[in-house]
Amino acid sequence: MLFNFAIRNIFRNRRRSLVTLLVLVFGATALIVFGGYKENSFLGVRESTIRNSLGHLQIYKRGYVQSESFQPLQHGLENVESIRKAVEADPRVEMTSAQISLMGLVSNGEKSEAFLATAVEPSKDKNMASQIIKEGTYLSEDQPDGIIVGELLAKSMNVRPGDSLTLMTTSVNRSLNAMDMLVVGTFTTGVKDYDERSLKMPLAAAQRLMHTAKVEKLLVLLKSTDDTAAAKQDTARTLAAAKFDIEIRDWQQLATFYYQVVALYNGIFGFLGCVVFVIVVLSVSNTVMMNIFERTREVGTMLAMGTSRARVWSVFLAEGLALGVIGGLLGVAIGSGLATLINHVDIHMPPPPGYTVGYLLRILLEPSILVTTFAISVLTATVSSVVPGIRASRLNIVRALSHV
Amino acid sequence: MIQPEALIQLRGVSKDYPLGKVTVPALRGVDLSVSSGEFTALTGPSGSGKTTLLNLAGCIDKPSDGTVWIDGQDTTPVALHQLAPFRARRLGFVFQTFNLFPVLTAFENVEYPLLLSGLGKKERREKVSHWLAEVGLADRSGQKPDQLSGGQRQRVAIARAMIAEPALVLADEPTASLDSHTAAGILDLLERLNLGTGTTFLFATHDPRVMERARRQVSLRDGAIEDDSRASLRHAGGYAHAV
Ligand SMILES: Nc1ncnc2c1ncn2[C@@H]1O[C@H](COP(=O)(O)OP(=O)(O)OP(=O)(O)O)[C@@H](O)[C@H]1O
Ligand SMILES: [Mg+2]
Repeated sequence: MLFNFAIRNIFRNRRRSLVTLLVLVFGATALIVFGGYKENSFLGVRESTIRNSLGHLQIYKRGYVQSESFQPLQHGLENVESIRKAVEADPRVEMTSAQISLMGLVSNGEKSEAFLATAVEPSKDKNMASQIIKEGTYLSEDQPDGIIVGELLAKSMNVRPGDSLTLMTTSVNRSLNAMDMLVVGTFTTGVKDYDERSLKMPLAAAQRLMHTAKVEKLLVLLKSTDDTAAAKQDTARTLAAAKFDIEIRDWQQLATFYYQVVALYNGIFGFLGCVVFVIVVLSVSNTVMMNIFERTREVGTMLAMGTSRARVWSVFLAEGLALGVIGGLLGVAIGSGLATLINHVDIHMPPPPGYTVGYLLRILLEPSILVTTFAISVLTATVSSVVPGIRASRLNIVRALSHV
Repeated sequence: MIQPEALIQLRGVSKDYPLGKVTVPALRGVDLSVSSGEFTALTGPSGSGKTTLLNLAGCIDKPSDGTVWIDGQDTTPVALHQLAPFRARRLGFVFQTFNLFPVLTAFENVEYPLLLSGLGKKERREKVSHWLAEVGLADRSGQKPDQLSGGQRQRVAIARAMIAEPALVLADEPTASLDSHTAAGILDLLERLNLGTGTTFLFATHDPRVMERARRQVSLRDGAIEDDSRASLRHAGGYAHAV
């Protein structure tokens, strides 16, 4: 009876209810579209961060994370092949990839600049596409002195594939060492700062340059990101049992950028959520308040007839709830429709600040977002009618009855 | 002294309305007692305090001074909202403007008071059908108020006021919105209900036809009772029968 009454009263002033429903639909749609965009971005940033650069797990010699190194590879892994064998025995592991990162000077004979290099195993790193080759080719095992250079660094050094560059860095015994390398390709990472300084070289070449057989770390890529925690625990146990003196970090501990994105988007989303919440609350409470004002005499009649305050209150609460349910359902339907449409028509977004490539606008339609949106819609609409409902239930009966 | 058979007793009741800096006295020390089964009209010129008195007797307003006893109980110290269950059980209201719920059908309007008492669905249906038939609207149960004439609306309102079997029905100008023919029909109905069920009726009215039918007429002037007269023998038989 209460809901029947509420629904009929909602349809009594169609235009006002329609406006309120539109506001609810707008709010729900905004939450779904932006929430889905946010989730999609999280997923995208997370997966690309893991698969292109961090790996799910990184294995280091114990002490690497804590202590400051005074010489290159002071905390390097010595027996990487046996560690790799033990780790790759786990069926959840897709592959492992050893790396050294080093800094030094790069020179074309005329001028020198600082570089940041990642030394990788070409056959392994090929799958981790942290860069796009612009000119030439990627590193290969049969080019032991080949390097690829960030396109802006290449431009500044005035080199193209086929030219050579000299790399100079400090070796493990703290002497300076230099090697001539052949530029096989140029690349972009999409981030200007990287393209200006970074290059990639084969791991073996870096080891020669630094007079060492050690590597800095072993990256572990899993088949599924969901396995991270379990695989980390098991790998740590296996390696400890085999007496390897190592420590492990997972991507969550390393992905500062991912968490910056998450924090930024959650901030924006939270702000947007607050704005939507305020608009919806104001709109719904306004509707309920106007409904009550128009129905003052009706409320007076209910109270005179001995309707309890709680019941009068629940009548208006039910109206808010019903508005929320209708608006929420419509909003979820329209919001997911819009999201599907956006995913369908391939909207190209311009590159974000600091990036050089754009991306396709994608909205992730997760059931959890839809359920949350619906729940927020219902909750907001109901909450908005709490105060007006209380006011109605406390009207002065005689005055309410003589209200025109 | 409280008369044991008195359904309502007002003793020394005053009501002042604040109006800006001054207070308007609407009732000044009214003593009135109404017995069970009476059919009483409150009359008097506009502004004499009829509605005010009715509101006090109906426990929807509080006196500024004096006491209102109903069923031998002093209701004055009890907050109005705490008297809600009492009103639902013992009182019925009929208004000049009918005050039906526009979104509810005739049936649902009449059913409303039973929802407050938490009666089962089957019993509710039986009672509503009975009362709709009683007011001559058995065939209109599915219609909304705006599909009914003024007289029909007031009949629905009367069925609604009667359905919880109240001891007292309060009606403020029940015929004032109706033409004289329809008003006469409504009065017939009210009188029949009074005699048939023994329910006490208290009206506030300007309508001479209501005054003529009332077996007791209390006339107010400037917030005080000017005259209180019992009617002729014409109704005595009926009255005795009802008691
Ligand atoms: N809410 C109020 N505020 C101020 N004064 C009021 C209020 N209600 C009634 N009054 C005053 O109290 C007095 C009695 O009013 P009441 O409505 O009881 O008269 P009435 O006999 O019912 O009149 P009518 O026949 O016009 O309905 C009048 O002087 C009126 O102006
Ligand atoms: Mg009046």
